Amino acid sequence: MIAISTDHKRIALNMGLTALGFFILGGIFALFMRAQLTSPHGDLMSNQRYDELFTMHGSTMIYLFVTPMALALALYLVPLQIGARALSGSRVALAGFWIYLCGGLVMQSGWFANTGAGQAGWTSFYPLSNGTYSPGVGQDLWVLGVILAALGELLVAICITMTIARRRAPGMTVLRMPVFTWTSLVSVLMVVGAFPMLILAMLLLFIDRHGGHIYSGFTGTIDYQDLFWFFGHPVVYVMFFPYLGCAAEAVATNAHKRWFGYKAFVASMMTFSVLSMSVWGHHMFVTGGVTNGFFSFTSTLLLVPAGIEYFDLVGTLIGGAIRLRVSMLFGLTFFIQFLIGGLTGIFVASPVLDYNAYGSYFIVAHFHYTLFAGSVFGFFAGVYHWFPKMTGARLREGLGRVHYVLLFIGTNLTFMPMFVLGLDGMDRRVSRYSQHPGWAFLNRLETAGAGVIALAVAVFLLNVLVSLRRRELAGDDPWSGHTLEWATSSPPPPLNFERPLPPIRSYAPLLDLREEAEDRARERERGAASEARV
Amino acid sequence: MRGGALPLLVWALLLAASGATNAVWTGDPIQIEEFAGAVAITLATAGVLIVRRREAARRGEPSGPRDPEPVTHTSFGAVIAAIGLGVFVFGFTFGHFMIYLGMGIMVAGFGRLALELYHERRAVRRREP
Amino acid sequence: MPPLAIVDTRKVYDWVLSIYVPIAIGVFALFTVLIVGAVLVYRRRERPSRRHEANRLEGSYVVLLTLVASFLLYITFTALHQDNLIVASARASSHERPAVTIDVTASRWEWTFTYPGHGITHRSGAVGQEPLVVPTNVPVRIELRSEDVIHSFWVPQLAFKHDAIPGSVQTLTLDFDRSGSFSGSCAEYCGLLHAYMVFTVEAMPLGRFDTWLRTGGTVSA
Ligand SMILES: [Cu+2]
Repeated sequence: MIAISTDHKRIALNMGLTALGFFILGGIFALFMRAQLTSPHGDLMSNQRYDELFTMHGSTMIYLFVTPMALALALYLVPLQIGARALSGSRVALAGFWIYLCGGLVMQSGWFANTGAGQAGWTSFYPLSNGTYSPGVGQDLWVLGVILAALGELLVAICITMTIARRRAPGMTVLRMPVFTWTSLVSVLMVVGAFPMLILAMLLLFIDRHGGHIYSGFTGTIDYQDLFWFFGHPVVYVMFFPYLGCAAEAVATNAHKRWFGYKAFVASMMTFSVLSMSVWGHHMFVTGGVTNGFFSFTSTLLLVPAGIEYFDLVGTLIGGAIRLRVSMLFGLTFFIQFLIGGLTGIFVASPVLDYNAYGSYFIVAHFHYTLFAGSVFGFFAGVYHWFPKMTGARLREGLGRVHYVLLFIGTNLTFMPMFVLGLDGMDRRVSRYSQHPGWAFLNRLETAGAGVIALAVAVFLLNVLVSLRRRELAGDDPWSGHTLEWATSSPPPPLNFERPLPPIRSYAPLLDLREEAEDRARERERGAASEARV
Repeated sequence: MRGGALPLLVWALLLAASGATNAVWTGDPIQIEEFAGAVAITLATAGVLIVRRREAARRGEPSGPRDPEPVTHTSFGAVIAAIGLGVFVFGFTFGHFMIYLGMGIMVAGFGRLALELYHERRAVRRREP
Repeated sequence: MPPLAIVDTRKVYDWVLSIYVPIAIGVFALFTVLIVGAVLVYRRRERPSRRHEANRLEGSYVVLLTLVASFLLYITFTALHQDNLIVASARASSHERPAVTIDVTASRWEWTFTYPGHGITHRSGAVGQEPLVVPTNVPVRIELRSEDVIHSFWVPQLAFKHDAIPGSVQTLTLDFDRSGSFSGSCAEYCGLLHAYMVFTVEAMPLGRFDTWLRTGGTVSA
């Protein structure tokens, strides 16, 4: 019953748990890679094994964890936040989850192929990924797995789009949708606009691998990258916006203030997502196949909408009644650490700087600061914030703090030295590196950091286990939430709302109620005081 | 429903503007096609919404669903069809029989899906006065 | 504002970096202080403010952001123009004749450096470690090719790289303004022995380089 349920919450939990499983798998791949890189000439594994590991680490994290987890969060929360009783096209979403799961299994089954798993990188550039240079079934399984995973994610995204369009509760206008719902909406729009291009690129690659001659010569090589990055950059933002939404909701709730500058935020989400559909060529600055000026222009402009998010964050904090719960710690750290990823992103938006950084550990550091130090911290902010809603029990704050501190230390220890290594000339995707002064030391730091991250994730899993075993009951609204999901029971009933919804007059309807009650109480007090004077 | 297509229309419009800038600046055919494709998909999605209900393109407060709707709890058909697709695709690497097996499972899944939908429609019609 | 007479890509790079880095550090420090400061000040307060927008202020802030973006773009486009003047093939065919042309061919997993007309071929990578020998302070033309997959020719000393893409010849003009020996590598993952696709650049004054060339590369570099 659980596996075939069309309840959006059930599908979302299944998808989220699957994605979490892939997160742990991809993390194990990373640990093996870090172990190999502990010394310049590590002999833990063959070159091929290392190539499989970094390919599958990237592919697992991007296609099977961060993207589907973002969609799973949206799938769970968006219908609740807009006051919908069910999903539009819930059967399609259910099928989407299963297709995504099949895709993950197909991709990972490459490990059992005699030629090994995919080993052409998560981008699988042509012609390295063609039948001549990557023969064997592992790469085929990789291509087919990506097609299935992307298709499943696309179907889920379509359902979320349709639900937002068609099932908002009475009073829930588009400009009263909560912040997280907005971040989800622009993300699913990007999935709908960009994922078909990935599926197309991969279908063509599969045909090419089997004698089809699709991509050929210089043009074909560039065309593959144009198709791939047309998906590959937007997906970076699909892997960012919903987590930004998580962090924003956690921060606003813990500051006991509604998110600041809502209208500017919505406008920035629209321009941010459209711009990020228009920057993919910055991955191709060194190919000589794109107009570098245009993509440098669009990429640098990203700082404007990104800057608005930070203004709104500071505005939310100022004047707040701030409580530093674990969700708040993760939410705030998301913003600070993502800033490092974002600012270095502006660096590599300058072709002149990218001519050095491209293909080096600088890039690895940059995108791990966005995806790990950013999105994963936003994800944990969301988990600590909504776990009570999803399960009815709170996560332990004490273990949560240990989890937070370890993850913070581990993350920065792992990814900060990579900036230095990259600028110093260390290539990414190498299983061995030269004995430059300092390189071995920095790599050892990174490996130690990866160990701390693993420990942090173990503490998190322990926290989940303990919190589910010995439940601290949360009640419907443990944090004085702002949005409609806190107006129903924890976990919500099958059709989400059994009680009538509160009136919806803004993007924080529950906060409205609380403020009105406060005003009424104050007026009564004033009334009583003036009566006493008379 | 009301206003549901508006964000999509605004988004498509902005994307078209960005694509036009790209076209003028780079004149790169594949990039222009990609922008056009994404704009077309978004407009098509908005179009579906508007064709179903005109109010999807109008501003204002949604009034909530009006027609009686079937409540779906489970769908075996959707899962079967999805797994069928997985088996079908997997068959392109190992054992061609899996292509046919997958197609068979998919057909069974879609059959079951059709049955589920048929029963649901009938239940809704019976409710209507 | 842009430095006059930029001679190599490293100087252009350093110039851009010298402007970007302070701005980035400033922005990071500003927001970290604002966030941490706000948390410290408003921790454990009881009555939250209800103010939830400041559209005037946010509007001016957006104008400021746009100005910052414009400034960065001005720097970047100036630098890109400089880089194009240095590297682009336009210069190679202009009156300023390059002192030497070197065919650089990437293949899995080695670099082949050929000096046409001089009968010198050096190979570096999985097979050996013969250096790429270049003269300093004169333009060096590089004809970059790939025999199989995409590779990328990277010399960190120059802060510059360019892809070698099969089916095309990429013509670059590079300037080495300093003698010495620098490392280089393939920066695009190209398969099994990608990590071994490294090479050394030996840059020497033109006089010594000419001798090296005349003797067919026999005099030690
Ligand atoms: Cu290479």
